[in-house]
Amino acid sequence: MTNKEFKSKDDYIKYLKKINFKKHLKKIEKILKDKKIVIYGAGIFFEIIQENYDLSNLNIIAISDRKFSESGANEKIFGYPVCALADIAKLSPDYVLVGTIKFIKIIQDLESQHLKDVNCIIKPLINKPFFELLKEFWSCA
Amino acid sequence: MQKGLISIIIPVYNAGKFIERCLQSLLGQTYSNIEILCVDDCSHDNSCELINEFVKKDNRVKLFQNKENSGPATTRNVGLDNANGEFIMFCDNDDEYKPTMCEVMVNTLIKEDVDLGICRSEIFNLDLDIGAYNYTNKIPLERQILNQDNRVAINVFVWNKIYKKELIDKYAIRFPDGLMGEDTAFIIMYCAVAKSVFGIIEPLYNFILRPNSATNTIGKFNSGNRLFDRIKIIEYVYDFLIENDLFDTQEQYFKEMAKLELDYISGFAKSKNVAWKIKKTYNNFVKRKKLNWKKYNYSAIRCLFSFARVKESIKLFKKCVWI
Repeated sequence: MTNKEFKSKDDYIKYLKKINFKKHLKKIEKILKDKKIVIYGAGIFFEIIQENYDLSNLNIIAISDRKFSESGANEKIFGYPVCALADIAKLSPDYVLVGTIKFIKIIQDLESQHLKDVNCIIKPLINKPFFELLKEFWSCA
Repeated sequence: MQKGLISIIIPVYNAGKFIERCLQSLLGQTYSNIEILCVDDCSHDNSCELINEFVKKDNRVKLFQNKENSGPATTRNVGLDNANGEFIMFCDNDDEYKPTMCEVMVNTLIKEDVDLGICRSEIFNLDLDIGAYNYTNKIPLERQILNQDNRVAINVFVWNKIYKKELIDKYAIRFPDGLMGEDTAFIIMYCAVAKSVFGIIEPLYNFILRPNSATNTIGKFNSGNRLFDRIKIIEYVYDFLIENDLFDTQEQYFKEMAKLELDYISGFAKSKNVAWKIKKTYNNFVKRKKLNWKKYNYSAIRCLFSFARVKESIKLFKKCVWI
């Protein structure tokens, strides 16, 4: 699905059910147990995820986004501290999970530029079906 | 050329609904040493009347009018021909600058001593609440010496950048008259001669996405004969590199950009017949210019890859899955 096909929050919710995000979430809770996680992408997609799914078993230490110019525990979004992109390194996260539907270019961007000197693993928050991932990958190539 | 002056070029065509807001954002810049060159391409709305109101109030605003409708390339060239500034920037007539854009861009260019400054932009999508991933955000960050890899990474929009007029004049860089994809040609030519770049992380340009904007109706402009403009762009850039003895050093960059252009227009080919015609037109260019057939024929250039790139792609793909 392209971003153009998401016309309302319900479309996103349906998509998350379609990709069985609940099952994926249980899986990554085990993999990422006790790991420090920063979520990158504070847009509508992550907003819907945190509204509809229980993320309390993930140790999310901050939310980051390109639109955040400053960090601060006083600044919060969805109940999590806000972190500017340039300050992610200071938090020393184990994982940065990209909380957007289309994430390949973002992961590439973070790896090659912003987080290239940060010792962390960058992955998408969701687990896309193989052919959908391949389609996104092809469109980025 | 006036030292420190930024010439901001705005091509204008039926911009009556947006031009006032655009000009207000430019006149409200924290850096005031600017001249705003509005070049009207025979609008048939009240664009010129609105611009003239600004001309009367502020002598930094100038209006030029084309004698006949000539397209964005020629219109921007009129701006370049009449620019007095040391630096050049562009703005689309329905977009805006954030208040500090000129100040940040010019200070960065001078302080970092680079030939090209790039900033990010914010997309304001008037159609949907949902924003798109803004691909102008992928820019070489901080100061970088330009090489084959990071040149290709520079996006081909003209409006999120600041240029040195001296470099534009030295190599007589101009937009190819009458062709679509003219911004691509300009950026490739400028990047071929620029030695260094600074990418500014801050979004300074407001890109307004409207239903009838050129970007949103891009399919219309890349249909029919307009598709083949892109091949003329490849040829235009090739001629530029040859005339300026740059082809040897910039060959890899040229190949990568030619591939991107061909990939781009192939996506708009609605039938096998059109796809075949694109291939034939491009191959005729290769024969005409006596380029190495093995390296430059259509199939060869579209398969441009290296094992390193394949390996890198597999690595990235693995990162995007949870096994």
